[in-house]
Amino acid sequence: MTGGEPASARISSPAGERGMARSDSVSASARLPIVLLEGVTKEFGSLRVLDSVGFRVFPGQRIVIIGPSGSGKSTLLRCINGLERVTSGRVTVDGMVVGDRGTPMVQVRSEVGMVFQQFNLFPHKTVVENITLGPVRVRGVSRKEANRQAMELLDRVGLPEKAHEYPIRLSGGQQQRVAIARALAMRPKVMLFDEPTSALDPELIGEVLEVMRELAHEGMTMLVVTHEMAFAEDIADTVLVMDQGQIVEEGPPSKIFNNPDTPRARAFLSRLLERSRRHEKV
Amino acid sequence: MRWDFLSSYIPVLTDAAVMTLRLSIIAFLAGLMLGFFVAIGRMLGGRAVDAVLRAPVDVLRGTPLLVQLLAWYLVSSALGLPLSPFAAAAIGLSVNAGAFISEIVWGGLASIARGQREAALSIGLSAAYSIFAIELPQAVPAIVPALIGFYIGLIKDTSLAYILGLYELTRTAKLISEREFRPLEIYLVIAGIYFLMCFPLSRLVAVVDRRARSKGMAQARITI
Repeated sequence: MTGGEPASARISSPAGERGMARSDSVSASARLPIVLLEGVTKEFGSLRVLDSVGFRVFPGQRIVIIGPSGSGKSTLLRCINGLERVTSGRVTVDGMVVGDRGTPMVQVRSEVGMVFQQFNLFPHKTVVENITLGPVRVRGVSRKEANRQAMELLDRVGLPEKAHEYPIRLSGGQQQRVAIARALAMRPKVMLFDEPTSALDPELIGEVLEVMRELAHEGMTMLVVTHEMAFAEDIADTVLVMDQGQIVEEGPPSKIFNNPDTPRARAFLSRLLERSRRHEKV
Repeated sequence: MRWDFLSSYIPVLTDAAVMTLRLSIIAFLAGLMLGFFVAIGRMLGGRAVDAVLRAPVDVLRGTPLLVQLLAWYLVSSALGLPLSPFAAAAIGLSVNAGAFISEIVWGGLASIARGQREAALSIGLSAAYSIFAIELPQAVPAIVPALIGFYIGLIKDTSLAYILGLYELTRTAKLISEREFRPLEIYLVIAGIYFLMCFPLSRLVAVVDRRARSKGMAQARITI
């Protein structure tokens, strides 16, 4: 890994001490960014939710985005797979400009998996139908092959026995693990997680984080919006702190959590730490 | 009250009941097609399509059906393409039903959480596929009782076709009462016939509703 890449000016190299130890695919494929944001601004009416945000994500990178609510974290993820149209600036995924006339959204979305806070499983379809819908309808995989892959994925998220249940019969944690399997079934190159554990009861959070941790170890490129600091510290190679639609600080978790440079990052982190301490006491 | 005159009118009343049912079924089926088309068009077409489709819906919902039926008949004559009274009634009722049904279907679709569409899009499915295969099936438990309720209203609304001279139940009753001078009896009889047509349907609404509820699927109530 050479240090002279322009990319590493914006974002710390994925081959930092944490990244390197995890996965050797990182250094091999780290030349071209898989996701590239340039001056991305998003406005809802007069409200500016994202304010010329720019960063790069390299294959194998695991980026955790933190920041106060309303700081634009979710909107940022949603701009990457085109659920929100950017007001100005440019989002590029695997060389395709998102929202461009020439770019088929289907292709962008097949390469970007997304996991939502509210799981959003299809309630009228069984677990295995939820997982196979994308591969069969979009990727053109045969039903038999899609079912086989779905069972493999269910094994990976630890729910093979739930294949033919309807989502309503599953706990929140199980639903979220199915939602992860559904996203993975499209064989995406990047996975976006939008507060995947925020809607879960505390005792169900661990099982979801465990699945995500495993994904990270397998070398999946991940962007995670979360308030789970221990998890962030454990899996992230880069942490972005957002506030008022801007990235106010970015760096390796050890730096961000222990010694943030900017006052805004410091203020947010101290509030967060205080909250999690309060939780531990309870 | 005297009822003996009635027996000679049974064939006439049967024809009238058939006319009422025919009009209501035609209007309901055509209204379903129109209504689904408009509702889904509004959902898929973006803001411009939504505005264009909403204007006629608002007009149709905001003017008396009686006036609409007359308008179809009179305007078609004025334009030199006169519709028969039956055609004018059938078209008028159908278009009006389409407007109301589009609101029912649109309301059902709008009651489905946004996350469903987003989840479908995020795995690469199209918005159209999402509406037909993901959102509509979930909206059915909310839509069906409202549609049955609307059909009940439609059966009674066909009585307005009397203004075009069609011998459906209401106009037939008027005719008989003028001949026999027994308005009370004959209007009671046709009220009974309307009731027999509608009552089983209103029971059906309750059954469909209960079944949807027991599956945990009945969400928002749709009112129009």
